[in-house]
Amino acid sequence: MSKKRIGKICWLLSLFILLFFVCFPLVQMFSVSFKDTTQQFALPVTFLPKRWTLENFRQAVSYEAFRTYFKNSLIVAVITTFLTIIISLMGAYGFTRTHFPGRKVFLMLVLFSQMICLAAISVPVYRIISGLDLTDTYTGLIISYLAYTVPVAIWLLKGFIQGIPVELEESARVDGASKFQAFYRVVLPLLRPGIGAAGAYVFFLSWQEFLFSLIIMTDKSKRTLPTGIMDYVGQYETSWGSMMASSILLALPVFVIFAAVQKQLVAGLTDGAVKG
Amino acid sequence: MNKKKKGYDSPLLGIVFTAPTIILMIVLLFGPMVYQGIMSFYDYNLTGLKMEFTGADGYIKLFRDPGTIQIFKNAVVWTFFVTSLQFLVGLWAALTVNRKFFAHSFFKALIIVPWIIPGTVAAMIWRLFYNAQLGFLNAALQRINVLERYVDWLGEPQLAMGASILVAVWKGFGFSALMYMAGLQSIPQELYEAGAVDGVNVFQKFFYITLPGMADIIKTTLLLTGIWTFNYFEIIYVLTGGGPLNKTHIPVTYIYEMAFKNANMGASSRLAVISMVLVGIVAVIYLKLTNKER
Repeated sequence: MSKKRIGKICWLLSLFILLFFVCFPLVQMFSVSFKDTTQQFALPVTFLPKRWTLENFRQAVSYEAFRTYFKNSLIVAVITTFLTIIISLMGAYGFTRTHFPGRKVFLMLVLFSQMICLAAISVPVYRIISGLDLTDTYTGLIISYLAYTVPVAIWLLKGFIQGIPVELEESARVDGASKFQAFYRVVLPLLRPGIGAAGAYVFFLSWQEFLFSLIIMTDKSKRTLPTGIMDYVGQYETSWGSMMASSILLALPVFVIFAAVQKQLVAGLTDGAVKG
Repeated sequence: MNKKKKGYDSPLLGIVFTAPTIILMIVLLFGPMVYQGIMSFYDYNLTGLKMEFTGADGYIKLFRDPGTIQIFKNAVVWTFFVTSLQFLVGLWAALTVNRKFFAHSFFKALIIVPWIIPGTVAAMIWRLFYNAQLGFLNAALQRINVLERYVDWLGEPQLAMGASILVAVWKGFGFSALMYMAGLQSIPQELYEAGAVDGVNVFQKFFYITLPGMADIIKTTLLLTGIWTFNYFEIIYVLTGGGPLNKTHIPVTYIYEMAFKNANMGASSRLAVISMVLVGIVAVIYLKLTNKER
């Protein structure tokens, strides 16, 4: 009986330490974002605001550049996600349901592309984009994202497609449906959870992407949020309150999406990791 | 049409469906890799108008540069510690929350919050958290009398790498935790019941049932997190920018700086090639070793 008790205490302690590690930095983010300017820089540091204020959030939202960054991020992430899903759905279907010469090699390349160091190829990618005269455009940034979001999405979708019995399509075909109809009417509806998971993950990746946005979007009005929030870092002083408020707003969309598809996403990721 | 009889093995359909993916990968991933391989034998500028053949000299010069050696030393420390700590913390987290208790799904979600936060935001949070005057870390350590003076965690050459590693662990362990939670759930409950009958203790349970049961998922997760860590750009870039005294510069941040700040494109290409080859070799050795054990 007492042994059980010790176990329970150890477990509670372990949970407490874990949560402390996760939450302590987050507490500072929230605390600062609700402090007014004088409190932000007041010493000694107080862990919680003495007076709570929404001023930082108001400032973030009314900051013209922030709205532009948010808009840019949203456009890029949404279009990237949409295009990725279309291309990778076709790709994943082709790789799992058909046989063609070179299929295995290319599938290996899809898996291998997970491991490519994007910084290592940033120069040639930049030169391609600038060669097409697409720097400082949404199109340029989106193209540079597709190259790594599509393989990830295929990797996730493959498992979901394999989970759908071929017989379902075959029986639809016997009933006179064309190949496309069989895909559209039978496979696609069953794939909805998989598409949700892959879409969320791609959105998550492109929403927070930093390096290519830094390189390709040199014009301030075209920057996305992750590079844009660096605006608040001044040469001598960083306006922490507005920065953290903007950061919370920046993190918010992915939280909402994650909460919505958490189950399918975890299933997709672990499935992909186990089967390789 | 005999298409119907052949069913799903139409090569043409496969080629058409996978063509966009393959083209994208070749043009934007593998082509650039080859490009870097070729251009690493030249010195050139960003527009590619001025090119000068250097052959192996560029590589020799790079390897003789103590700066390069420092960068790759940093890379080893960074990758090794971040990956292994993410593994340990991830496993610990998974074991801790993998049971039914009050609001357990809330806590499960809470521990993956850092993983969902964008990398830039995570790095900025920690820049504030580590801040010499305003940071909670210094404030807390002083309040419990561990520190006597404020410490600039990211500014001290001896501390900066350790401090950056902690941030990357915090940011990334959620992915490992997610994988291991799923892994724990895939271990058949009967094994534990049989173990209980045989009277095994907590440690035996962990080392003889839990760990072997998750071996595959651990292998894959370690490989993925290892490669991602080596390639992780924004944490270091935003936290320290590679400083102080290049103590936290890793290949990816150095490649960027060489190319886009110092306009030393040749060196940047060479570093990129060395990094890719290095990751490739380590990955192959890792796969060979882990597959032999079976």
